[in-house]
Amino acid sequence: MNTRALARTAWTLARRSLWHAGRPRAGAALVGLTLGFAAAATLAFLALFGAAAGAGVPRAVAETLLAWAFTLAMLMLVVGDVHVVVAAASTDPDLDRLRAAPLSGAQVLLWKLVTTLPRTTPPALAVAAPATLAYALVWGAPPAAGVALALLAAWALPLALGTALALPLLSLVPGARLRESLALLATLAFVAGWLANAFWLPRLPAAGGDLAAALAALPAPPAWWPATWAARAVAGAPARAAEAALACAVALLAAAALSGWAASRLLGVVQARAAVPAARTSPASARPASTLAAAFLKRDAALAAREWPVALDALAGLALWLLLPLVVLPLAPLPPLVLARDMLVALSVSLGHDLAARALPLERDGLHWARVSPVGAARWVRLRALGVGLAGAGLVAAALAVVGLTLRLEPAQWLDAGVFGLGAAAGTMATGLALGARFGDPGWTDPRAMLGGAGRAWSALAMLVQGSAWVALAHRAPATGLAPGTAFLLLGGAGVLAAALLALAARVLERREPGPDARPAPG
Amino acid sequence: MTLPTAPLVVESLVRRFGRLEAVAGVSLRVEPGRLVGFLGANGAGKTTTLRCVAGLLAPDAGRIVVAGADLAREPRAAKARLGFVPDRPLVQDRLTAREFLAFVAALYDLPADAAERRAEGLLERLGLAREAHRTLEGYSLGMRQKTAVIAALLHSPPLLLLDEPLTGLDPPSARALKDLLREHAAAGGGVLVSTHLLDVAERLCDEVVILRAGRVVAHGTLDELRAGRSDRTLEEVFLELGGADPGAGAEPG
Repeated sequence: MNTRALARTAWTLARRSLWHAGRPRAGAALVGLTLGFAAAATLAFLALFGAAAGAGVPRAVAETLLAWAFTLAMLMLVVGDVHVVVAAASTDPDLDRLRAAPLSGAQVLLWKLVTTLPRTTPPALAVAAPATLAYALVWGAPPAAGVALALLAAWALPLALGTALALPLLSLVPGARLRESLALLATLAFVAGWLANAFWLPRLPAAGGDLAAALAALPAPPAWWPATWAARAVAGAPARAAEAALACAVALLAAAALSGWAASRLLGVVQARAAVPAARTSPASARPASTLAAAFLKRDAALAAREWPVALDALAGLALWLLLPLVVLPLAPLPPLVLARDMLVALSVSLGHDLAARALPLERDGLHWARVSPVGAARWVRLRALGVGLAGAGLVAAALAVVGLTLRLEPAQWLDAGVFGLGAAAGTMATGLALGARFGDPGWTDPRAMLGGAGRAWSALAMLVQGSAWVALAHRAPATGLAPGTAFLLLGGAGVLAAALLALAARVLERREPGPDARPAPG
Repeated sequence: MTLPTAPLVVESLVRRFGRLEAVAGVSLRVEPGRLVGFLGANGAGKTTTLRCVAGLLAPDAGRIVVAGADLAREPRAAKARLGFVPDRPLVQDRLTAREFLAFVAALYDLPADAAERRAEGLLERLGLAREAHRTLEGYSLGMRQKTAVIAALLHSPPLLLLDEPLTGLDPPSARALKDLLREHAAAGGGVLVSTHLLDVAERLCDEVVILRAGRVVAHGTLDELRAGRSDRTLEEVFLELGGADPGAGAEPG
C-alpha cells in the first residue's frame, strides 16, 4: 500500500468536500457547525473550570471534570460513530474496487477510518479538545505529549474497540440481513445515547447552589476507564501524568492490534455477505393505481415496509422524544395540560427529524423521476408531503390518545394539546422535507445518516429551534386551555409556515441536479 | 400538407460545469421515424446533452423542443413526450419490477388497464416476465437496464433518448432492444441513442451525430458522412472527426 499516495488522495477528498469548483460544499457547513459547537463548548468549560478554580477546588477535581468530558466524547463516538466506520468498511459503494486491490482487511479498515474522519472527529474536536483547552487556560499548560495521546485515545479507542467487537457479531449475521443489522446497530446506538443524554444532562443543573461542594461530590470515573487515563495524562501530577500517558499509548497499540486482527480475519467475510443482493418477492399483482396520489401512497407504504429498519428507527426516535418531557418532569413539575403540550411538541421534533427529513432520500434513485417525469418537483413534494403528513397526523393522534388518557385530560384539553401537536408537526415536517430535498443522499447506507453530517446538524438545529419556540408558547399559554381564536391563529400560522417551507422544498428539489455518476454528492 | 412535428429540436444548447463548457452550442434535430446515433469520445458532452434534453440538467443557454413542446416553457408537456434511459438505470431498488412500472405508469397518467397490458408485453419481450415479482435490488445490471428501457417505453413517447442502452445486456436482450427501437422509429417516433459501439450504430441508425468537445462536428446519414467514399467504415469516419477529446474524462460526458 502506497501510504503517501493514499494520504494525498484522502487530503484531496477532504479538501473537495469543503470547497470544489469555485463554491463551498456541504462539508463546509459541517466544519462550521463543529467549530461553532467547539467554541461554545470551550466557553462553557472555561466558565466551569474558572468557577471551580475561583471556588478553590483542588486540581484533582478538575481532573475528574476532565475525565467526564473525555468520557462524554468517547460515549458519543461509541453510540454515534462506530457503526459509521463499520458500515463504511462493509457496505460502501467503492468496496468492490478496494476488495479487488491487493489490500488486507486491516488496510481497508484503516482507509475507511481515514475517509470517515469528517464524521468521527467532531466529538473529539467539539468536546474533548475544548475541555483540554479550557483546562490549559485556567490551570496552566499540560505536557504536549500527554495532550496528544489523550486526544488520540479519546478518538481512536472507541472506534478501534467498537469495530473489533462489531465485526465478529456481523460475521454471524445472515448475509441478506447484514445491512439491516447495521441499521439496527445505528438505532440501538441512538437509543443508548438518547437515554444517557435524557437522564444525565437534565440532572446536572440540579446540582446547582454551592458549586465547590457539588464538584467535590462529583464521583470520579473508574480507575480502569480509558477516559480516566486520558484526563490524568493531561491534568495529573507529572509522575502520574507520565504513567497515564504510557497507559494511553499501550491501550492505543492494543486496540489497533485487536481491530487490525479482527479486520484481517473478518472484514472480508462481512463484505462478501453484504455484497449479496437481498431481493424480496411480492406475488401480488402490481396494477397501476387509479390516481397519482394513490400511486404515491401505495409506493410509500411498500417502501416503508421493505425499509423496516428505517421505520423501526423512526418509531424508536418518535417514542423517545414523546417521553422526553416525562424524564425531565421530576426536575420541573408541570400541570397535566402543559405536560401534554410539551410531549406532543417533543414528538413533532422527531416527526420532522426522523420521519419527514428521510422521506425524500428514502426514495433513493427513484427521486430522479421528479425531474424526468412530467409530474414536476412541486407536485412531487406535495404528494410526498401527503404520505408523510398522513403518517404524522396518525402518530400525533395516537400519541394524543395515549397522553390524554394517561393524564386524564378534559375534552377541551384534548383539543388544546392537539393544536400544539399538529401545529408544531406541520412546521417541523415541512422543514424536514426541505432539508431532505437539499441534503438527502440517495446512496445512503446508514439510516441515521441519510442527510449526511451537515444535513443532520442543520436538521437537529432547525427542529430544536422550532420545538423550543413551541415549548415557550406552550408554557406561556394559559394552563387551563387556549381560547378558540388563539388555537385557530396557531394552526393557521403553522399552516402558512408549512406551505412556505413546502414551496421551498420544491424549489430545492427542482434545482438539485444529479452529479456525473447520477448521484448527488453526499452532504 | 402538414409536416409531422419533429420529435426533437435542439438549438444552440450550452451547459457549463464551473469553468468547463461541457456542451458548447449543440444544435441537432431528430425527425419522425428516424433512429439517430449520438457518437463522441469520452467527455465529448453526449451524456450532458441527453440529460439536458431529459430535464435532469438545466441548460445554461439554448432551446430544447420535444415534439412541439418547449422544455423550458412547457416542461410537463415536453417530459410527457419523451422517454429516457440513462447510462445508469434510475430504478427504485425496493420495489419489484411490476410495482416500479405501475408507479411509472401513474407518473405519466396512463390508464391502468392499458399500462398493465403494455408493461406485461414489454416484460415478456425483454425476458423479464418471470422475474418481475422480485425487488430490483436483486437484479443484475442488465436486468435493471431492461427495466429502465421498459419504463421509458411504457407511455409510447414520440421521442426516446437512450444513453449507452446496450451496457450489460446479453445478446438476445440486445437484439430485442434493437428490434424495439426499430419498431419505435417505424411507428413514427424518433430515437436518439448514444453509444460507443460503432458497428451497432452503423447497422442500427439512420443518421449519426458526432460530438467533439461539446460541439457537433458531423450530422448526417452514413453515406453523407462517408463523403462519397463507400469503402470507409463508420469507425474510420469517427476517428477522423470525433477523435479523442483533450478534456476527455475530466468532467461529465
